[in-house]
Order: sequence, then structure tokens, then C-alpha cells
Amino acid sequence: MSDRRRLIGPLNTIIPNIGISSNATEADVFKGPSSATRNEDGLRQFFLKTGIIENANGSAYLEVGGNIIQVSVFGPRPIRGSFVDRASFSVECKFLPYISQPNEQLYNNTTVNAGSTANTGPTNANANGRTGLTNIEQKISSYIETALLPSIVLEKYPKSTIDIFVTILSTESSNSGSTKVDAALLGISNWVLNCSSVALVDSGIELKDVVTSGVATLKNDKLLLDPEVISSGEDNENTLTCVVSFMNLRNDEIVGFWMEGDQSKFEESQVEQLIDGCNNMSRQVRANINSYFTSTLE
Amino acid sequence: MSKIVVPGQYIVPAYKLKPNSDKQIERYVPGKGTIISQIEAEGKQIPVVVATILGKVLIKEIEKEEKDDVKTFVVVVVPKSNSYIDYEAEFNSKALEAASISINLPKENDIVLVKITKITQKQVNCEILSVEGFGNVLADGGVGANGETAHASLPSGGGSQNLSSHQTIASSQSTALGAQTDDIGENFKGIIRSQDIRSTDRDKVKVIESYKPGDIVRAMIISLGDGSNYYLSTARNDLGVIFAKSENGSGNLMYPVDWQNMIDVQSGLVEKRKCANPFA
Amino acid sequence: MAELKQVSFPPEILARIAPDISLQRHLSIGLRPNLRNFTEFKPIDIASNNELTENNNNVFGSSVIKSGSTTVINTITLGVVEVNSSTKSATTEQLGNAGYTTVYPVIEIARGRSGAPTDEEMILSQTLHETLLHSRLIPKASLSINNYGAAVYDATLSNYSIYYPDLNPQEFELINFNHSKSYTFVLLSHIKIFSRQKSTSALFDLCHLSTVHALSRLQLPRVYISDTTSGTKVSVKSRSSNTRGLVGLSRSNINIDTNKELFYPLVLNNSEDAMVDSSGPFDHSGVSSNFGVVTVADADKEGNDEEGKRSILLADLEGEAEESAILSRLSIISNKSNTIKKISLINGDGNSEISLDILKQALEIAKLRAQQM
Repeated sequence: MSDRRRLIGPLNTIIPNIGISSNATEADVFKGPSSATRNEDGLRQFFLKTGIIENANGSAYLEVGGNIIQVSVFGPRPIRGSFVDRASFSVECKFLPYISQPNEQLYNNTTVNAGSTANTGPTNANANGRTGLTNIEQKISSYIETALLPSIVLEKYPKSTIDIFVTILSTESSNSGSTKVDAALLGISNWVLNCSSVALVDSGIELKDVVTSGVATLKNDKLLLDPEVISSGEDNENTLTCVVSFMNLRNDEIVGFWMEGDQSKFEESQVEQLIDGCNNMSRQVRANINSYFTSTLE
Repeated sequence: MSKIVVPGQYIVPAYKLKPNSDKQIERYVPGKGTIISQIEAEGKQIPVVVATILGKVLIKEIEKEEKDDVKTFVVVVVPKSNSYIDYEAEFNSKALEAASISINLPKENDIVLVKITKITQKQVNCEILSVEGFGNVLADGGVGANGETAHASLPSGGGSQNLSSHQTIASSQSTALGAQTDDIGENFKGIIRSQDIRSTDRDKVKVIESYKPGDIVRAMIISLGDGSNYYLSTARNDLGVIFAKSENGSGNLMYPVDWQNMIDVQSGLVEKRKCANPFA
Repeated sequence: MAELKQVSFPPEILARIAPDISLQRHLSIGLRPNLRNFTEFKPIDIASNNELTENNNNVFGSSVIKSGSTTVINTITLGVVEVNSSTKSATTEQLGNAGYTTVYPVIEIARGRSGAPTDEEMILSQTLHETLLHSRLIPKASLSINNYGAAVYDATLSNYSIYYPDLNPQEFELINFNHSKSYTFVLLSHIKIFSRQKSTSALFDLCHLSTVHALSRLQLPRVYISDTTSGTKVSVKSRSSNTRGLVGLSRSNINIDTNKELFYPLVLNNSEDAMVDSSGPFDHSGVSSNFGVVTVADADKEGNDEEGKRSILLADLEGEAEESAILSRLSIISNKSNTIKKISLINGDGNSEISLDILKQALEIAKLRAQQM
């Protein structure tokens, strides 16, 4: 079907599948940055910058490992419709069109073509210029919105809307070719949330607290904070992955919780372990963000 | 004494007690940029003044008329910068302090700059371009989005707003029913009723001799109004037309002669407007 | 004792409420609102690393360009189209303009809205598409897929091997290969623009630069067909509610070989630059420059006509004041051998018309800039 407002190629364009490599030795080579420096507590170093987008009220740019995220905040800005006594809030998260999204095969229904089981990479539709959000983008947007909503003082902005636009320029899973690991999806959601919080502070909108988030995996009883997605050989066997978001200065209130795993049963102690681990990471992220802000004002 | 604070950072507890008693000796009131949060400490919930924006803390004592044992302070957080703070030296700094940390959303008693879009016998319709003390309401003015270079706002019903689908944004429970984002470049709308145009002879005002479409007017918000319009007033000496072009906008820039007339120097035309006093 | 202080505004406020006044006030003291010289272009930084291409299987050429805070990110992916074999025999010269093809760009400008493209985005995409076609940059022959291979399942090793007619002739002969269709690549590009500060005409310059740069770094892969017994089937998925906005998905048996050693660069048309020594990416395609013309009312200045006005040529329009108030525009693409590839003139304002002198001045500046790029 054609989209009359965009140039998407001649009518009978076929999108080829990304196949295998004819060079057998090249398979499973990871291309992502592997040993980003980690602190003693397990957190990777990240690069943060705010105020880079001039036509938005607030903006932030975050690079950690192979993930590159950019967030713009617009608002408060006018709405149409009846009077509302508090601001309306929305989040839109989009990947660049050709970047493969984490856990694509599972959520986005990009199935492997039956005739060519050689495919290990994602098959792709003509993703150019689509206006809808894919399922993964919907999930991430929805998580960010749920987590940020409690932190904004919406009553101070009647008759208006606050919109957040997230663009994900690169993910670790696309780098390494691994698209099945939960840590990829939850990891990117974690960093998108941290980046969005920073952008909100940059916009000057009043917040009860800065929401920060941590992500951890529990594999065979071993807890790992801020897991990195490296090689495409990883999978979800016996793993529980969880991203938890907090308002650390408001009695450590949990504002978001998302857990994935392939076990049918899990213990309360495992969940507690994960939450504590994420809280730990969230506090460290908050400390780093605080020092960044202080340095921007000096 | 200016400490830099981030949102959520505790500034000071809401009250200080005399040691070993329950009597309050100091009270702290949240001002702009702060709120009171209940923080758990030692099993109790304590009200604390917490910052809500990034900025520097300013604590001032409030002078009370009656003698009171309790000293009251107001806690304010001043943000890093906005269009006005950057140019602080040029402006009257007293006005700045009062307006400090305005956010770009117009509130009651804010002075705003508006552009007149439509006049009728009973009222004047306008759109709000910028808030004095903060800056432009919209970070992105929307220029060029629809292939236009004309500096008028998008016509209502025109532009690509029909196609901007709100469904594509993944928002759910919080979106107020019927709240639809405006198209790019669309501003907040306002109304100046004919009786609010000036303070004397309010019933005998002729709108056609006060404002014309395209004029830039300095006005004050008197009410948030309803979902579609703010309500504004220009009934003060320093409120009224700032910039206007002669012959309904097709001529040259006019300068105010007195509070009722403006003159186009190049053509000599004098037109009637309700002008703002250009001197502070 | 009242202090008489005239009402004044910070520059951004004045640019929003009265852009033409802001512009006139700046120009009458010899400045521009963005503080550049009248004929100075904003510096452009082109990123030299190739991260987007290297890290993504689906991206074959990319480019990141920054000018001030405006960032343009361009990614090129590939589509495949069947070709009628009879047209393959004619040479590029014989076909004239039909021997060349172009890129299909989709431009997105991040301005805090989502949904259908704005007029500006559509205009930029269409102009870019046509400009590249008419500048004869990409010969059709460069995109044709020759020697596509086949994937064969080896039951003993339980994996697939790929054989090409040119690289593995012996193994290839043994395969029962029934495909005789010809294919060619289609270049699909997506451009995302962040922090738009410059005018639409300036954005066109950046998009043009970005596309040419990405094309110069484009690497084409080898292609193989996976199901060797049947022909390619193209099935279009019907539009269900959860694919709202998604264009129809077509699946087929055409696959891209991810073996980077077999990638080859796109051959662009470089026939005209016999005079040029160096081989920069923009030598043949040229560099686009945009200008605006505005009239300033100046009393007592030389060079004015009787009414005391003079026309000024401004290069690289940026900022709200310039974009709203300047309605006469020029856009010129000139390449290193001083050929004008494209010229566009708009007289939008009765007071500021493009005169012959202004046009000559603009042409000189555009040529000089193309030489230096």
C-alpha cells in the first residue's frame, strides 16, 4: 500500500531479509564495545549532556555502553479542548527506523521466513516513515510514562500538556546482533528513563523528585547490576531480569517495576534481591546526575 | 549563601522547634520552586521544604506586623537562567525579582505580550506570544513548518493538525479526556473584553479605535478562563499597544504620540490606538 | 523622579513578536541576529566515524552532520526491485536522463510533534529526490544486482552455505538454479533533523550534503536467494489494527549476505570532473548554498537609490527573524568544476527583488564555497 505523503520507493519494492554471512568464520563476532569501565559497585560510566536541543523546552543526551539516547521535552504548551486543572502528560519513544529493536522477534512479530531458517538477524519491513509505534516502542513509552507521572507537579500547569519525545539512536542489541536477551530491552528502558528524568529537570518543569532507575539480572543466584549485552550467544536461560525505578529522595518510593524471565516460579527472596540491587544502582545514578547538575550551574 | 539544589533535595524542615520542647521558633514557608513533602525519618513523617527545580536557594525573612515569637521565612529557588535573567543588567532588577522563575505558562497577574488576531465590537481575540519575566511561551515558534514564511500563526482549521494523530503517542491514564495537542506553532489564545481595555470610561470604549489585528500588545492576565481562552486586561498606563503597523499592517511601523494616537512617520498618517507608555 | 527607561526586549522575544523589526534593527547597524557576517556561512562539521553503518546490519551508508546545534542524521538502507531485462542492454550514455536514478528520502524534523509529515518535510524530500536525479549522480548500472547467489542446505552439516556464480563456479553449477529474473537495488534513506534552527532553504543544503556524503560511503552487499526451487514470492500482509501506520510488509526469498568482505562501494558518476585533481565526495555532485535578499532603509549611505534603501544579500538564513522576514530566496548548487547543477530563485517580496548584481554576487560566493568544501 502506498503512503502518498512520503517517498518510500517504487511500488513493487521488496525489502530483502538480512541473511547470514557467506564467510563462515565471521558468524557470532561481537562488534559492540565490551569492556566499558565499571565502578567498583558495578555501574558503567555514562556520558550525559543537557540543553543541546534549542527548539525544545528541555533536552538530554545519554551514551552508555553501546546505547545512545536523546530526549526532548516540550511543554507546558497549549492544548485544545475543555479546561483541565492539571497538565496532560505523554511520552513517545521511537527508535531510528532501521535500527533493530531489542527482543524484536518476540514482540514485534518479525518472524523468520520459513524458507530461510538461516536467518539469525531480524527481518524488517519497510520501516521508513511509519507513523505508528511498534509494540516494543509502545512498551517502553508506557513504562516511562507510568514512572515519570508521579514525579511531576501537574497541578501547577493547568490547561496545558507536557510531551516527552525520545529517540533511540543506537542500542547494544543492535550492535551485537543479539535480539533475544531480556536485558537488552530492560536495559535500554532503564537508561531511557534516566535520560528522560534529566531532560525534565533541564526543562524547568517542577518535579517532586528526580526519578532514577536501576536494572539488574539474577542468573543462577548471581546478581549483576547494569548487565551488558555483548555477544549474540546469550540467552534468557534461568535468568530473571528486572528494572525498578525510584524517587530516591522521597522515601525510596518505587514508581516503576518491570520484570522479565523465563521461569514459571520465582521466590520472594529473589525479587527482594533484585529490588535492592536496583535501588543500589539507582542511588549511584542519582549521585552522578546530581553532581552533573551542580557542575552546570557553577 | 546560595546553595545549588536539584529537584527533590531537602532544603530545610518546615519548622524548627525550641530544644527540648514542642514550641515552634522558626517556620519555613514554601515559595516559588519549592513544595512541602512528607519525609520519613525515625519512623515519623516530617514535613520538609523540598526544591522542585534546579537552581539556587534564597531564604528571606517575612516581616510580620504583630509581634510573634515565631520567625517566618519564605524559601525560594531561583532557576539558572531564562531569556530575562540572562539580560538582567538591562532590566529593572526589582521587576525581575518579582517575576523570577516565571515558567512559560501564563498565570494570573502575569504580564504577557500578545498579538491581536481578531476584533469584534465586544471583545478582542489574541494569541499569547511571550511571558514577561520568562521568555517565549513556545520554544519552537513553528516558523516554516507549513512552507510559510509569513509570521502569522497558523489559521484555525488550517495547517496539518488533522493528520497529527494523538493515538500515536503512547499515553494513557493521565491524558485528560479531550485534551488534544495543538499543532506546531499554535499559541495559547486570549480575550480582552471591551470593558477591560482601559480604566476610564469603560463603557464608552470603541474597540476599533483601540486595537487592530496584527498589533503587538502588552497585557495582564486576569483569569485562566476556560479551555480555549485566557482573559486579559490592558487597563493600566503601561499596558496597551507596543508595536503596530499603519494601514492595518500593510504600512510602516508607527510610534506612539500619546496614549490614544500613533503616527506613521514616513507617511504622516495618524491612527487611533490604546498605546502603552513606552517609558518605565 | 521617575526613571525614564525605554521599553526594550531581549533578542529572542523581539524575534518572536516582531521578526521584521528585529531584522531591520540588526541590519541597520551592520549585524545579523545570529551575529554572522552578511555573506558568511555557518560552519559545518561532518562526523568522520562510521558507527551507524558498522553497528547495524540494516544500514549500508550513513552520515552525521552538525551545524551549530542542528544535527542531521542520515541512514540509508536497501530495497530490491525486479527489472525488465530488456532495458539492461542500453548503455548509460544512450539512455540520457533515464540512465540515472536517485535516492528515496524520508525526512523527519524533530519539532515536538508526531504524525503525518509537514509541508516542509515533504518539500525537502521531494526536492532532494529530484535534485539528485537531475544532477545525474547515480547511474542505474551501479545499482544492478549481478551474480546473485544461492543458499544451499547441507543436511550433514545442518547449516546453509552460500554459493555465487562468480566466486564459486563449480559448486554453483551443481545447484538446480531456476532464477532468471534481474534485480536492482533501491536506495531508501531516512534523515532525522534535531534542533532545527536554520531556515528550510538552509536545511535543504544540509540534507543534500548529508545524502552525498552518505552515498560516498555506501557499501553494497552481495545478495543471495534462499529457496532455490521456487521463484520469489512476494506476499503483502493485510493491514490489521495493530499495524496502524505500518506500510505493508513484504516477505520474499531475497537475502542480503552479511559478509563484509564482499561489500563493494557504490560507483557514482564522476565523468565531469576531468579538471579536478582531488577526489573529495562533493567534487562532482556539488555543494548547495542558500541566500536571501532583504532591503534595508538607510539614510545617508552610499549606494542607496533615491528612496534611501539598499538591497543586501544574506547567506545561510538562520533564526526566526531571518526566516520570517526574508521572502526572496536563492538556492544554488555549484560543483568543483564550476558547473551550476541547480539554481532556484524566488522573488517573494516586492521590496526586495533579486537584481542582476545580487545574482552575480550569489553565484560567485556559491562557486567559491564549492571549491573550498
